[in-house]
Amino acid sequence: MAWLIFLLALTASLIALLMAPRLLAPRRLTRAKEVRFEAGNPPYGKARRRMVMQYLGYVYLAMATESIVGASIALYLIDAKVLWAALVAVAAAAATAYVAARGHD
Amino acid sequence: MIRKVEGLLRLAAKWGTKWSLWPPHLVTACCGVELAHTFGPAYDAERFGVLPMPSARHSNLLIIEGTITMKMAKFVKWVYEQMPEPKFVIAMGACAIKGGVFYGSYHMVPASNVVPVDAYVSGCPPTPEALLKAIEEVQKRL
Amino acid sequence: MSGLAAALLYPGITAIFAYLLVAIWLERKLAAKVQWRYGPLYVSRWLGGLLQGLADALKLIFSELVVPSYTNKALFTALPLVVFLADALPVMFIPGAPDLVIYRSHYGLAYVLVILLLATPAIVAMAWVEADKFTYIGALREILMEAAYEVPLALSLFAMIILYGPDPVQAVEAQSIPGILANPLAFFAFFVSAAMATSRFPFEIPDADTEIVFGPYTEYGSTLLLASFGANYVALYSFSLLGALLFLGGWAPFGGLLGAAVMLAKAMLLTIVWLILRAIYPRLRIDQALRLGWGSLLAISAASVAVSVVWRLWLG
Repeated sequence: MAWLIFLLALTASLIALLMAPRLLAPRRLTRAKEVRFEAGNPPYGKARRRMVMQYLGYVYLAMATESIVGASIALYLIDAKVLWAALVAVAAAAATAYVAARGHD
Repeated sequence: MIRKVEGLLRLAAKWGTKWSLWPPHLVTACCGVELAHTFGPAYDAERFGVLPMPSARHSNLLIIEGTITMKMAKFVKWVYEQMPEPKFVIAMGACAIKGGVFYGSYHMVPASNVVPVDAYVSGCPPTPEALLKAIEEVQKRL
Repeated sequence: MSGLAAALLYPGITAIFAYLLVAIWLERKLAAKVQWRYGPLYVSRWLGGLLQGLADALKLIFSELVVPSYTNKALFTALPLVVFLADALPVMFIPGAPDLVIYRSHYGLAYVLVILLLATPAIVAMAWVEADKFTYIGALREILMEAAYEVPLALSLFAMIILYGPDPVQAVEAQSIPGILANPLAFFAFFVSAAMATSRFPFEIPDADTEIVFGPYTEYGSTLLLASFGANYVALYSFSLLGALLFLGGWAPFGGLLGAAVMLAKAMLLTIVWLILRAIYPRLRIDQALRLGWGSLLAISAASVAVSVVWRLWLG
C-alpha cells in the first residue's frame, strides 16, 4: 500500500505546486509571453530546423548494444544458470560496440 | 481567518522574491563590465541571492546596463514583457538615466521612457558597490 | 507503519523535497567556496544562507506561470511533472534503512535501472512540446548523452547484480566489504555515467547555459522550472541513494534509525562529490563525451563485469 500512498502524495504535491502560481501569482498576459523565447528577439523563421546528424551512428549503436545488454540482464534475472551465456553476449556486444565506435570518427 | 492566511501568503511571497532576484543576461553597453564585476569574487552579488539566469522566462530583475539606443529599446521592451509577473527594473549608469555622454543625441532613449524603473544607479560607469546598493534598495522596497 | 514512514518521510516525499532545496543551496555554496566567494548568505546569516533554496522555491511559486498559446497547453504543463515523477520513482525501490522501503521487490535493482533510463524520453518529449530552437538542440544533446551513458550504467549495475543479487534490500547484508572496494571499476563507471545522466559538470551538455540558453528547460518559468529543472536534482537523489546502497555499504554498521541517518550521510557525501564537479571541470564537447562513453567508460564497465565474475568464482 505504501507505494500507492507514495505515488498519490507525490502526484498531489506536484499538482499543488502547479496550481499555486495560478491562484497566488499576479497575471498579465502580453504578446511577448505568448510567443516562443528567442533570446530577446521577436521569433522569426521556423523553430523546427535541420539538426546536425553526424553523431546519429552513436544512437543506433546505443540501441543495438543496449538491447543485447538489457536482454542479457533480464535473462540472468529470470534464470541464474544462463550467467555464462549472458556474459558472452555482453562481452561480444561491448567489444563490437567498442570497435565500431573507434571506426566512427 | 482568511485575511490572516492571505497576509501570511503575501509575506511569504515578498520574502521569497526579496531574496531571489534573478536577472537575465541583457548587456546593452559598457556597464556590463561592471555588472560582471558585481558577480565576481570580490563583490559577489550572490550573497544577496541574486543569480544571473540565461532565459527571460526564469528571471524577475531586469538590469539595464547603460546606453539604450532606439534600436535596442525595442529589444529591452521585448525582454521586459517576456519576464513573468512580479518584476523589477534597475537602470544602471548615467546613459540609462538621462543620456550621459550621449545627452541630446537623436538616437538616445532614457530607460524610464521604455520600461518602469524601480531604482537608478548613477555613475559612468557605476561601481559594483553602487549596483549592490541599488539591489538592496529594490529588496528594501519589497 | 514503516511503509507509511518510508513513503511520506524518508526516503519518500519529504526527503525528496528537502534534498532538492539543500542540494541546490549546497551546489551554489560549494562553487562559491572554490571561487573565493561567499555564495548565498544574507538570506539567513546564522545558517550560512541555507534558506536560499526555500526563498527561490517561494519566489517561483509566487511568480506568474506563463503557458504560451502556440504550444499544446496540456502537454506543456504535464510533461515536467512526468519528468519529475520518472526521476523520483527509483526511490520507491531503494531502501533507506533495513525495513524502510516503499515497495519491496525481488527485482528492485532492475526496475531502478529501467526507470532511470526512462527519464530521458520524457525530457525529449518535453523539449519537443516546448517547440523552441534552443529546446530542440537541447533535446538532441539529451538523446546523444543518453546514447553515451546508458550502456556503461547498465553494465556497472549488472556487475553489482552479479555480486549482490537483484534485491536492493539484501544488497547490504551481501556486502562483507563495501562495494567500492570489491569492485572499484563498477563504482567509477557508475559515478561517471550518473554524472552524465544528471548533467553534472563535465557533461552539462544538454542545458549548457552559455551555449543554448537553458536547453530543454528554456521555456519554463515559475513552478514548471522547479519541476523540470529540479528533476535533475531528484535524479541525483536517486543516484546517490543507489550509490550509497550498492557501493558505500548502505546503513552497514548500524540498523534502525541510526542506520537511516548513516545511509543519508553516505548519500550526501556522494552528492557533495558530484556537486563539486561543477567548480572543477570545464564543459566537454558532445563528441568528446560520446567518445568517452563509447571508449574508456565502456571498457571500464565491461571490465567491472569481469571483476564481479572473478569474485563470484573465487567466493564460490
